[in-house]
Amino acid sequence: MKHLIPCVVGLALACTASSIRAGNATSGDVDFGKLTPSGPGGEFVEVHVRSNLIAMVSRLAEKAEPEIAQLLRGLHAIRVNVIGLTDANRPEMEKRVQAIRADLEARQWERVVTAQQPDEDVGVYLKTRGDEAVEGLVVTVLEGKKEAVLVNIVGDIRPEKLAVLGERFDIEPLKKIGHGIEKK
Amino acid sequence: MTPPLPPTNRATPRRTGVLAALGIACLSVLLFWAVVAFLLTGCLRLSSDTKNLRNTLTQSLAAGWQKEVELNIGSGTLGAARVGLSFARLEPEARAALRALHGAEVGVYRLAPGRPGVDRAALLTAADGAMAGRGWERLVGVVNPREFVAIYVPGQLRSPRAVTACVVVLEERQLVIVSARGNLEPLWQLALREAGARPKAHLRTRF
Repeated sequence: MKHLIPCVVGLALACTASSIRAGNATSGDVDFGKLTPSGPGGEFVEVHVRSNLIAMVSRLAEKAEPEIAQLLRGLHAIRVNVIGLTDANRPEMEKRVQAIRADLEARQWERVVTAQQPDEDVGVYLKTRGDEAVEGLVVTVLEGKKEAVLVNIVGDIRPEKLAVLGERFDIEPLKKIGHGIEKK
Repeated sequence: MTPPLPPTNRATPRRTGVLAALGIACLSVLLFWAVVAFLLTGCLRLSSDTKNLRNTLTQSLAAGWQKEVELNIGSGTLGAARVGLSFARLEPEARAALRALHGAEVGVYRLAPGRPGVDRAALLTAADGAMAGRGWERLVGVVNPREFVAIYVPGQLRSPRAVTACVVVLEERQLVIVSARGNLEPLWQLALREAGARPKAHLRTRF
């Protein structure tokens, strides 16, 4: 009995510590909700790379691409959704994108890129930790009446590394976002 | 005078030896064909995960799927193929892929004529459910009027040297399920060489 109370207290402290760590690790995680193909004529693309696969690719890249491996090591998840807009789902998707943006702003995510044109509405949001690191990145795009794009990158993202990744694999959006964040 | 021994006693050891040899030969032949039959049926049997996925997709969604082929290619068969193909001229990429592969299963099914087409959204949901129940997670899903592709990987990925992936493709009325296991390292090296060789990649958008 005399050991039971310290054990329970120790366990509670360990659980609290781990939940704080877990909270910090996933504060850049954004739930877009359940997204499904829009129907017979719609377009649907979903890529969800989880931490286990990222860790494995990071180990593979260690020797040949140490810089990329280091960048990948900090990531927890990468999620990309492309939903084709049809008459059936357009109002619902537009509302969902606006709700996601409102939720991000309420959670103190910083909107770093805004581009609104007649046929394109882009928002890029960052969850920062101090001045040094980005914990999460969300990109929301409503491309006219054609499609909605949602991207969430979760993890310890260094802005200068985003640009490096973009340069290495020639991914224009990452280059622009990385350089845009660096200029801030 | 001692009566002579009956002739059968002198011939018995020799006949026993011949009978034993014949018995062993027959047994060997039977054993050989039993092994061949086992290997052949093993080549035609899918693993339980792949079979579960096949059953879910072909039985629950749209009745009328006809099996065209089911193959299970194990490490033995692949080893023999590598030996055979070592004498052939192959592209380095193809050789690397063959070296990386440890085993593969393929199932091809066709929707019978006259049956209505498949609801692709429902197909994705059904595949997700079947695979999630076995501890697999979807890595990629693509659904549009022309394509259906879903790629699954196990939730527990331990080593890049022993990676498994399962791919489901629906093309018009033909469903293809492929499960492959292998070593990711040679394929990663190949991908890096390709990425280095092609300075301008394809991931551009209108951002």
